[in-house]
Amino acid sequence: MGISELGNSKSSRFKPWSFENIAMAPNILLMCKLLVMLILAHHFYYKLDDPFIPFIKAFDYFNTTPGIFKTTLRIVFIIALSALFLNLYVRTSCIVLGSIIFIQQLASIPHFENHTFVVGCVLLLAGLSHRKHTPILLILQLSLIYFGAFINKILDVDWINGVFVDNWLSNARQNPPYLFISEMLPEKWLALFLSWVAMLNELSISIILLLKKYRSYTIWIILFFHTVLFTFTSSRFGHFYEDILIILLAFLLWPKGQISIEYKKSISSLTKLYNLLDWDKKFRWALSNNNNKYWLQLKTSTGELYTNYNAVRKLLTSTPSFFILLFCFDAFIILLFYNERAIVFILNLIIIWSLFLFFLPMIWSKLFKSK
Amino acid sequence: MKIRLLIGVLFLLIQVCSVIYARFIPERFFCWGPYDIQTKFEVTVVIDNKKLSFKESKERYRYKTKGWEQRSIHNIFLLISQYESTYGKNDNAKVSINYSTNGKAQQVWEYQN
Repeated sequence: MGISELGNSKSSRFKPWSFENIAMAPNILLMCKLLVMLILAHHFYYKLDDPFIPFIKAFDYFNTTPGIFKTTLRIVFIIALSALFLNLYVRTSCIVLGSIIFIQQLASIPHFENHTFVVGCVLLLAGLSHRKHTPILLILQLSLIYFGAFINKILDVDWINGVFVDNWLSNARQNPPYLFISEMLPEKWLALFLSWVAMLNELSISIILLLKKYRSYTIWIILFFHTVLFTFTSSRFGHFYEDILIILLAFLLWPKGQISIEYKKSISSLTKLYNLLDWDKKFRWALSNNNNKYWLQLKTSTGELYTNYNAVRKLLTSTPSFFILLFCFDAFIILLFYNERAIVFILNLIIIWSLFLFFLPMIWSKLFKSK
Repeated sequence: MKIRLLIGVLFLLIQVCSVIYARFIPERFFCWGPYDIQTKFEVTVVIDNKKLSFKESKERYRYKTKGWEQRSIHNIFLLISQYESTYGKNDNAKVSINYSTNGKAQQVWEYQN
């Protein structure tokens, strides 16, 4: 067995904590599992119900025998979800889960939500993608989302003249930063500026995503755009913000094979702790000799070298449990301060911007390298 | 692999068609256009001369009947008219929606079986 091989795929079956050697690239599998966890956290299971004011009126036929439609969907959902998390037929599970989401959306107009629909789209396309190839379907999907959003806006006169943004932020949201800043500027100037920034941003994202050479930059633009939006509006837009953050995992350059790490004795306790998070046993730890000027040195199987804080960044972004813990921590904060949304928002801001600034100095081409 | 890729591309093309189709209808579903319109609205439902409370009307349509709608208000028109022409057609409900889109003048939409 060479350094780039970690064993056969059977070793990953029935192990929800394993992401390697499965019929899906580790980062895409991670993305799928997190998306499913996200919709579960938003009570998706209970939204699987009999048809009610469906988009396709033929669905009303199932209401002649109440409960059959709902029960069938729920059973299939549980089976597909279990298969996904147990690493069994993961691609098929994702296709099934995506399809269930579409059926649920089509079966009920009141339940239609863009932030749920996007999860269905991504799961389906992830299931149709091959682990050894560039996730081109996901790239096209993301590009289409932003292009669709741009088209909807550019053809709306209320976006062109800033009326929508002004009404949204001043009347609907009564957004304090917007109200404060806009008072200092000529009428609707800020709204106009924000409108056009949003539209041009969406257009540029949709185009540059398709350009392999600049894709990595677009990822950061997406991150920045949505995080700024969240910062100023305090809104996650359903769970669309989380959707996008999780979907971007598909664009991580996931190191193949084992990763060798050398560390100084002074941080040995931290490395032992980190070993607990290494569920796939991907990292091979070794004490570095005293001559090594770096306190942490990471080397991938393809020969890429990272040192000190860059090594920490690479380490974290190559560890599925890091993202899972972030997700769980976010859920924990929301539950803990459920009735104190201002506290949740402030904590979210601190964590999000800290992470953003910590990972920003990464050499983009080494992390989000275009595949 | 190629078949899967083909299915994926076909699925994306369906979405492209949906985005284009949305240009010709007032509703905004499956076209990646949420939060493009802000409408303040209030639904009034009268059945047998009795006005339903907001809670009752919300239970009727399983959708909010008061507040802000971040998608096209026509989405709500479609929802209500489809309900009243199917499940609720024997109720002979009179529905009216007072709404204002993007802060503009108030308008009224009415539906009656």
